Amino acid sequence: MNMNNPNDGIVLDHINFSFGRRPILRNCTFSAPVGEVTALIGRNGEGKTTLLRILMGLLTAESGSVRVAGLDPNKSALEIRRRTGYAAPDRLEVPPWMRVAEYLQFLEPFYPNWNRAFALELLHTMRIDFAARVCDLSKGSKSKLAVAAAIAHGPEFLLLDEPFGGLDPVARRNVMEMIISQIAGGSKTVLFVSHSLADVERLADRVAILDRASITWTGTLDEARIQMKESNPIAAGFDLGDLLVTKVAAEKEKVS
Amino acid sequence: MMRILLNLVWREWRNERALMLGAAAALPAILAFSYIIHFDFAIQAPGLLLAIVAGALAADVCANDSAGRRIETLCSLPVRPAMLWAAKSLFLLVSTAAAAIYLVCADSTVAFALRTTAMTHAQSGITSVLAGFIAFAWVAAACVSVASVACANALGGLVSGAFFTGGLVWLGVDAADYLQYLGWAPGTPSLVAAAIVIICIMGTVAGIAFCYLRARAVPAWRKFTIRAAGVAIITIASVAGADAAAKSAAIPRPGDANVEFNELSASPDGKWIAARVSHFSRSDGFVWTFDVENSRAAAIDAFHAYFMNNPWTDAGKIQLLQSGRRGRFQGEDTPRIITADPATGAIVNSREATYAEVTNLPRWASVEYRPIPTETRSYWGQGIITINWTERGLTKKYKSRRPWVLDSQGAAILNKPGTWLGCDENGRLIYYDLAAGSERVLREGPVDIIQSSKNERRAIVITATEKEVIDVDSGACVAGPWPRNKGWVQWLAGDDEGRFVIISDKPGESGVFDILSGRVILTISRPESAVRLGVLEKIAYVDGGRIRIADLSGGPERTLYR
Repeated sequence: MNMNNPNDGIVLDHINFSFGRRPILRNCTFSAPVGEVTALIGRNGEGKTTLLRILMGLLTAESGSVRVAGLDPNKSALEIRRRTGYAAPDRLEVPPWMRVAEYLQFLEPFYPNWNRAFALELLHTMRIDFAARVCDLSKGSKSKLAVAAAIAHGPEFLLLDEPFGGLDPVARRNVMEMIISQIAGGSKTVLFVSHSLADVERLADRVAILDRASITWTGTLDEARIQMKESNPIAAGFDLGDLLVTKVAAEKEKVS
Repeated sequence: MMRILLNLVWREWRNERALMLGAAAALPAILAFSYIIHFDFAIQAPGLLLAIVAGALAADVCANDSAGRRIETLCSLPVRPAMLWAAKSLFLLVSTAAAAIYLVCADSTVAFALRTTAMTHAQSGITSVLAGFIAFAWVAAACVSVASVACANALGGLVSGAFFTGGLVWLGVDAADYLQYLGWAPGTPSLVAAAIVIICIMGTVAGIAFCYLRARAVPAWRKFTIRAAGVAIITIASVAGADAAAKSAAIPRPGDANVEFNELSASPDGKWIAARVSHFSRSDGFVWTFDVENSRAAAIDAFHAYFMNNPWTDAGKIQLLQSGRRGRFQGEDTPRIITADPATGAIVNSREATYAEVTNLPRWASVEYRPIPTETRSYWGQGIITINWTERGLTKKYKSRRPWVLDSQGAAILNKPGTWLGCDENGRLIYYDLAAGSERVLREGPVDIIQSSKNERRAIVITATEKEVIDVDSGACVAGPWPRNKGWVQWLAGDDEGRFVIISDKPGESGVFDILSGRVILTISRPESAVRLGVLEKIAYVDGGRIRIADLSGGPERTLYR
């Protein structure tokens, strides 16, 4: 595979990463094709956030190759960040004085394609108080703000780290519609991390399971359904959670 | 690009706005307080306050981004680390400059508002103090901002804390001197060290509180290690600083291997000799008194004091000057005059003096010095000096903008009212007659140093290339000239006749000469300083680190103190 092909979307090839002696990612290989929504699922602490941070150039993989639109995050982090909407609500921290309106105003100069009207409309739709301090926002409101800020500049790539965390059902639907409206054209590449399998089933075209520092399974939702049918023919319906449990159990067995 | 930079600078400003506005409100109050309560502090306050403000800003600029995940949020934006660094540096540069301008303006305003109180005190020299503090604060600030961005985590906080605390240690060493000067710290070296260590500990606590505790982003398992390392670094710096300061603050004792006698002065009755004793190559030192009869020595318990000209009072006490910092009195200082008992070294009186009091004063005049607080202060001080004297029943007055003719080495005060020898701005040696309003050029110059004899008939004149003894009335050379770079020449302090000079050329050829006859009265191998004791028959001089007493009539020579 030509790693530098700009039409390949997101490609990870045998990457390794560790914090100190603790390996976080081992030989991780998968890709998120252009125009598709890929969900990254796995248990807590398996390195999903780390993987997104590597894609943003915030961390550097020890070995292997990483490409986003054919660009290496270590060498072209700026270009990638300019073309990517990154939302990690849990990791969003701004100075305590900063209000929602000031936060958007602060972000604007960094993105040439920033659409102020669109950003305001998003916040209005989400019912976020412009005058509220960011640090005082609830977890759900913070998630909405992070996602709105990530898509307000019309990025080619969306990296979303648990964008639905803490959202009530209505807000969840709003945020999801916001994301769906963004990917409707089919030109955007989305990689998102979520623990809500229902959200994954609703939004994702493809799924990657990260377990014990490795990608243990990747495929489309249809492939997942087929695989589940094969492994459990008597099951009444498809449940992605079952697939996750099955894969985790299989990996555990392999290790033992 | 510029928009991004300004955006980041604006963010820094919003981060520090509360701190800066708080400082803006507090600084004039502190300055006013210092002017009203303690002028000594007022002289150093602007520089000190600027250092604290700049240090606090630098530490906070770093600590703000080290706190939590703010630096990560910032780094996820499409902006180069260099741009972040540039924004922080630009903000620190602008804010420090603004703080400096604000401080200078506030200081001038406060000084002007309190001018009636300020008039009685000399104040000058802010520029040099300010420059030193700015240099330190800026280097620290630059390091902090680089560390903050480069480390992208709380390590920046640690580094900023180390720098901040290092600065406090540095200030603490200076402050220990100052505490001594104010009389708030005891004079013995061990307690000086203790005072410094206490200041260092306070600095350490402040540094930790300011930076490490704010840097919450450090993983829990690393917090202890980082703090321990920080404390270790700061402790080592503190101990090293305290050790160095204690060594330098230790009283130099005559007889120690690394001390020398710098100046001598004999009491009019010939019973005491005062000498300034200092460590080698140091300009500061302690004044010791020696009993000529039994060699008993006593240190005067005044931190880095010194004496000028004739320090002996009619009551048999010795009068010393003390600067607010190490070294000799200069225009920037508000000096203190200390009177001590030569027998015990105990201080019997200590008071603040005005600039004019410690200037090389003529005895025939009363001199007032009035500083001009609203003017730019320089090394020499800006002010009006007024000389009042009475001549033939008439009160006369002479005003000068800057007393350079009085405070430089190129001046000799004569006892004849209204007269002195001094150099003008071109270095010409001039005989001033204030009463007649005339000036007489004795030497075209440039003349560096003038020393008049006690009877004021002769003067030793030192130019860039040579030295000679001249007749004050005619300006004619009566002895010399000798090359300037070979030895030196001086009047014997206390010699009313003005006959004797010591000429040190090379070992074996120098000694006490009778200028008029040229007769060699005494040869001294390497005289470094000399005074006459009571009557002309005896002199005391320093030779190779010893104080020696010589009998000019040919009697035995003895060592007073080795």
